[in-house]
Amino acid sequence: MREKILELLAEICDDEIVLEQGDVNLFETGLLDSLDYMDLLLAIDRELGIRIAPSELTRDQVDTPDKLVELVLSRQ
Amino acid sequence: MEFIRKIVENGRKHPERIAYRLALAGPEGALTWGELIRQSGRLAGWMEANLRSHEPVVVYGHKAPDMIVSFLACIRSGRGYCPIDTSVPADRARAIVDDLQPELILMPEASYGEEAQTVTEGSRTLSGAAIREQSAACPEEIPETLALKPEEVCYLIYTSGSTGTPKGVQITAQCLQNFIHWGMTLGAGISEAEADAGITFLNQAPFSFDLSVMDLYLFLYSGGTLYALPKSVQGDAAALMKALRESDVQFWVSTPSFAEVCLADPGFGREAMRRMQRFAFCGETLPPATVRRLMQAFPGAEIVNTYGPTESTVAVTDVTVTEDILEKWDPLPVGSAKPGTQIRILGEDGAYLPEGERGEVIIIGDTVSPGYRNNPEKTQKAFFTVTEGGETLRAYHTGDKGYLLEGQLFYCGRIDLQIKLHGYRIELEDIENNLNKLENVERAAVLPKEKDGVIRSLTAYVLPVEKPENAFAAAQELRTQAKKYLPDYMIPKKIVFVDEMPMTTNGKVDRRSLGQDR
Repeated sequence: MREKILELLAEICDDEIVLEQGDVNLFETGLLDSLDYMDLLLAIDRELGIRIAPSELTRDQVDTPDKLVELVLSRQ
Repeated sequence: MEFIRKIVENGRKHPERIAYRLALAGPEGALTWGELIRQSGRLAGWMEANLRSHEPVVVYGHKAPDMIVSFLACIRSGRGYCPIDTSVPADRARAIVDDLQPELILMPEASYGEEAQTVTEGSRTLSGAAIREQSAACPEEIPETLALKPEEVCYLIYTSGSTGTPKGVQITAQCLQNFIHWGMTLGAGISEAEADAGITFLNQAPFSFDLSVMDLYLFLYSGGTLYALPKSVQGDAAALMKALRESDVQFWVSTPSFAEVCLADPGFGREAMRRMQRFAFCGETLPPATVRRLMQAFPGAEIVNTYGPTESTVAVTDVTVTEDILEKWDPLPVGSAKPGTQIRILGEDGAYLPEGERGEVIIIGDTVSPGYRNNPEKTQKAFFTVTEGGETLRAYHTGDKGYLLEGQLFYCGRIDLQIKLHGYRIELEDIENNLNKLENVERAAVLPKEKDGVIRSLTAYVLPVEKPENAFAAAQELRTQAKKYLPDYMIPKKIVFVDEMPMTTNGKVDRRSLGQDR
């Protein structure tokens, strides 16, 4: 599951750095912009069946690969 | 000018109807119509008493209600204005100030960051509370005869220029008036009864992006309310949904991208915004899927697509996208020309093309700018005049590729490298020229990255002076350095370091091979 989430993230970010560096800030580095972020939530819904509405969380809850994985796992 | 007179009357002549109504609302503060007209009258009077010239004034800020007070004070005292948003990087804003050499910079926000120093140094400024304090003693009435005349410049908006220096597009009061009269008819149009009841318009775009002219002047002319969304709220999904629910907006003006961001939230729809009546889009391609989702979320609302460059006052074509239009066309048309405008398609050989053939979109008509400020060379390249039936009309080479079919214009993209990203117009060479200024950059080439046919982000291919050990860290460092010269929306999302830059035989960077190989 963890791998699947990171795979989706790497595909949307178009950068493998998210697999190597779990604490990299996704927004400040430009890895994810607001449209990518929406795409990511949609992809998680589509591929993993876990629905997360953007307004439920603040960005700093999911601003690194590690935090994102943790959050998605907690919603399983 | 009729539109200036009407705006002033809105705040005065109908006290029972409009004067107590909010002119401005939203997270950055509120102001009634009565106050808007009184304050702008006083500030206009102060400028008359304290300024020597009637040259354009810079208004530097974000979404404070006194931004609008400042714009109105300028046009009521016979001055044009140049809005500069505080999100514009200091060096770029400074280049605009240097080009304009304004006698005064109005700064209506309560506070400014350190970068404001760079922007305003050496200029006379009037800032924050001082605007009201200084003008408090001035009478709120100002002679109507002082207001802008038809051919005087009403506003200047600087667009991306290929030399890295922005170009100042001058829009006259007559252009703006012609635009407003047409804007009032968009979709089913704004009836007198609706205007009397008061329409709330959404303002998403910063005032230095001319899409904002649509919501700003339609709200002013119709006597409605402008609900302005600051950047901080637009970037925070929870705060954004809360603001939209509170806004009671009926007339939505934004880029399609912004509506798409909102649509990603399941709470965005008729439940949250009960009175939503009309969506007007401009600034980039409107995807049919976005229209379908909006129709679902807001049953009964009208969706209007428009098209036009800053050089011809916001927009010149419109189409109301119905089920029939969706069924018939994909991609969607951007609409038919407004009254007073003609659209022609120019072929490479310099002759106008028949229906269905692709070429450069030429706009002829009563909203075309008289040209770029202090730039006769660029003006001559892009603008010309056409004489028809004894009348001389201004015309503009848009540099956009398009074709006409059944009276509808279809947009195909930029002829040169100017692109649209999230509604912003960007010239790729502008970014490259600025990246080339950075220490470890030998040469940079910037390419748009598409996803499902829409430009989503920018990728910079950089030939470094010294090959970095850690490419990711070096890329982040370059992005940080680039912020000194470029606004956020022009910073490439991704930076790829290359060992050599592919070249064409002409000695130009071979963009095609860059885009394909990697």
